[in-house]
Amino acid sequence: MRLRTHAAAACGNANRESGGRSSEKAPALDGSTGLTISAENVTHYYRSPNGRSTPALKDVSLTVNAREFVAIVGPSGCGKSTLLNILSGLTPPSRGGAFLDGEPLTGVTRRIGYMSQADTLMPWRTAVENVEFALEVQGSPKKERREIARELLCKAGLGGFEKSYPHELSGGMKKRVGILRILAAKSEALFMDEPFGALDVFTKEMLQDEILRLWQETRKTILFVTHDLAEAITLSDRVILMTARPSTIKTEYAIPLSRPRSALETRFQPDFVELQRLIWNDLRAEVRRAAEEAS
Amino acid sequence: MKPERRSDAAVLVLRIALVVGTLAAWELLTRLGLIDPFFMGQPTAILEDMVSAFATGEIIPHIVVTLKEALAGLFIGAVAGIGLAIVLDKAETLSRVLDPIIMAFYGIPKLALGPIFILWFGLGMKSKIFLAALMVFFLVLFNAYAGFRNVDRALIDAARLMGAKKGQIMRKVVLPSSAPWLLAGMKAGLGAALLGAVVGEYIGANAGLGWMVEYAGGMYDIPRVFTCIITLMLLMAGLNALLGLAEKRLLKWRPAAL
Repeated sequence: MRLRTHAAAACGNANRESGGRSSEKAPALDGSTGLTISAENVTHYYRSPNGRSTPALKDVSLTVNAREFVAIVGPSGCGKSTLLNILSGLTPPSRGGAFLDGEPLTGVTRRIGYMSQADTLMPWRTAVENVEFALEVQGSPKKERREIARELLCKAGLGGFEKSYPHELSGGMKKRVGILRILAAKSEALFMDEPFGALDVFTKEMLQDEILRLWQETRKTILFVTHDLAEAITLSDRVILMTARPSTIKTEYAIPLSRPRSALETRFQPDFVELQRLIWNDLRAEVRRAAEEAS
Repeated sequence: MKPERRSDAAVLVLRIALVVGTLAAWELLTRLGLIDPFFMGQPTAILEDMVSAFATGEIIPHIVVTLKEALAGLFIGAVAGIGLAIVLDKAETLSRVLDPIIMAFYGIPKLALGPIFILWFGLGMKSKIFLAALMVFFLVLFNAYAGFRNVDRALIDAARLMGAKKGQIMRKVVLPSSAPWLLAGMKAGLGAALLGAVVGEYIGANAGLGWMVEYAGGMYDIPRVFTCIITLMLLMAGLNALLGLAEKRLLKWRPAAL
């Protein structure tokens, strides 16, 4: 990765190397203890303008433990995004409730950083202005937040692109800026909704490695939605398989692969292949069911 | 295959040649007595009148009056238009109630209301400002409303998730995101404001370029009419260029292809 080495030299930050690749089980660097997120009997309907309601989620209960990396997979359109919206406080569920560390969730919260499926960088803000957005709305002084945003960009190998507007960045860079933007907010948990769906294989793998490293370093609770089963297994401690609409949780699979992991090497472990085969069989049944329902 | 694209310089030369050629033909035709300069004017006579109008400073106060009216109208109309667009965007029921009423008012040829405004607000600048503002108001309102409707929901959600409050979402997401729409409204509004001011003066005033056109026309002073028209043209071009600069600054984040 040419970009990274180049920028690292330009950054010259003393505290840049925080032991990213070390294998020791370091505590969370920002001192957060991690956030436990849970859903209890969440049922959700979509109301269309003509008054009909479509069930999206049915009796979903799950707990994402503090510092755990959980991936959710399921057929497309199965309500995975809806579940994230509910757990982040964006959408109140029709029935049931979401909880953060056992406290009921009543609205959006800064404790969760949410990277949605859509590209939500603000096109009128430069990379550095996008990264500092959360700090800005929290009233952090300009000099301070600029400093923090610059350093994050530098560390991610985007040192030369601070003043670039989103349309001047590549797809992978945009995703990276999107991740930095939620990291700047210092939330305790991260939600990611198919963040790498539209990227090419190599960029995707690079970013997966960065997410693995990020989790290793910060141990933030991460909830990751994807339709890419290999991605789910590569990244997470636990894969949750959701059914076709109305979605419920079908099965959970523990992913006992050793950490720290690398996106590429993990894929060639015999355990990985075995897990993939196991989960894929169940997933395929659901994908088929979803397709039948749609037709 | 499309023919090869001419260079910018070549286009500029052609453009100048067209304008100069037209003016020369006009001058020549009047000199040859083929058209009557009394009704049609004559480029050299117009230039002469224009120089004298500016040299004596005779035209300056009228330019100032018209500019003041148009800019005040533009400002008031834009603020009111954006303001109502914000309210309508927030209050769905109200917007549904008002929609046909607003469209009905929009359908009125506003210039036809000029005489009424002059009765209400007098011959001074107030009536022209009102007319200009009214014309700008609808243009900005529709553009701003469309702009607000087009704000990407996902951007608002992202801002909310990062802790932005309602006012911050308005200032930091909704307004910048609809800036292209607002500027388009202002651009259209600029022409409308100038038109409103000039037509208002035309109907009844004691100063302004519109009044000057009307007065000179009554006196069969054709060169003076053209002087005013050319001045208006230059004013419009200047204001448009200013707005273009503002646009470039405000929208520099957009890809060049747009």
